[in-house]
Amino acid sequence: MSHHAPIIHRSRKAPQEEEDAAKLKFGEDFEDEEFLFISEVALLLEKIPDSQKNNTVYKKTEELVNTFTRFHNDESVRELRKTLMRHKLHKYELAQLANLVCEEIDEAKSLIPSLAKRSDEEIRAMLDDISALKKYQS
Amino acid sequence: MFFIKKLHHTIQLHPAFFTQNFETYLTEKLYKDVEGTCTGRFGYVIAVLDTNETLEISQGKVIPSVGLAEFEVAYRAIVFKPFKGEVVDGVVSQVNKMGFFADVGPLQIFVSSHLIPQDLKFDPAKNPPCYANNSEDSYAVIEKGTHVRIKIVGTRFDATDIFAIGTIKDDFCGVVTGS
Repeated sequence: MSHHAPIIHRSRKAPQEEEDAAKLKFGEDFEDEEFLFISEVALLLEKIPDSQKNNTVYKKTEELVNTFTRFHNDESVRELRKTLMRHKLHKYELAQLANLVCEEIDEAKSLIPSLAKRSDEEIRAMLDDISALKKYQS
Repeated sequence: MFFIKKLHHTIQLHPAFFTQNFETYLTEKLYKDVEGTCTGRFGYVIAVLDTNETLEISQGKVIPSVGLAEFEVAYRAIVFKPFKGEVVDGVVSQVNKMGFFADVGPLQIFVSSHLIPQDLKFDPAKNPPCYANNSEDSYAVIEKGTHVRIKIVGTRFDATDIFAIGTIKDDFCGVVTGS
């Protein structure tokens, strides 16, 4: 006697485009929102009143952003965003460049694949801008 | 990735709170209801940025036959949602022979031993257990507390939680040195 696997019909809603950071697809819920640097989150969290900090999600996030923040004051973070804006980057690319602080062109291209369409000179200029600002803040 | 996202929340208010400063109560209730929660759609809600004065609170509607009033509150919050293909920095929280877990804020990412470079071998004898290589010139070790750079290769969202798996086999991923 043969067993047939039951056929399951799944009714799918309109096929949604798959979210993929490498292709700069973030879904309609997020593509129009503001993408934050880790350093910006760290600065924003400093302003949150203590009474709102009593949950694990908050505490774990605070730990993370304080560990990996690269730019430590309002001024340098604002300057960084302004400088990177000139390179006409996607919001995600801009945030990732600020978060990961790459040193080599290949590193940037590998970690943020969508940058591959830019020329090496352009990427070099972006990385130089970031490292200059990183040195300047003290 | 971290975002600032505008979100909505519905709050029902008991008639006992129909007072002059019911907004304060609504704000507190909002913080309590949404902060620290996670939904598959919007990710983790880390903190509401709006205060009592800046929240948009709709006109209350009394629900027939119950007496509670319902308010629609619009607020801005910092949210965190991981995406496939995103590269993140995290801290290793647990190591075992199947792989390791890393904390990226509220999110836990699992990196299977198949997605760890071959030369890093699991060493259960060490305390804490770790993945380490034997080469002397480029010694690398992954143990609890190590900072790692991970590429997210998959995410799974359910109603109240997010799961992610990552790889450190890609170029420029793995143990973060310096800084």
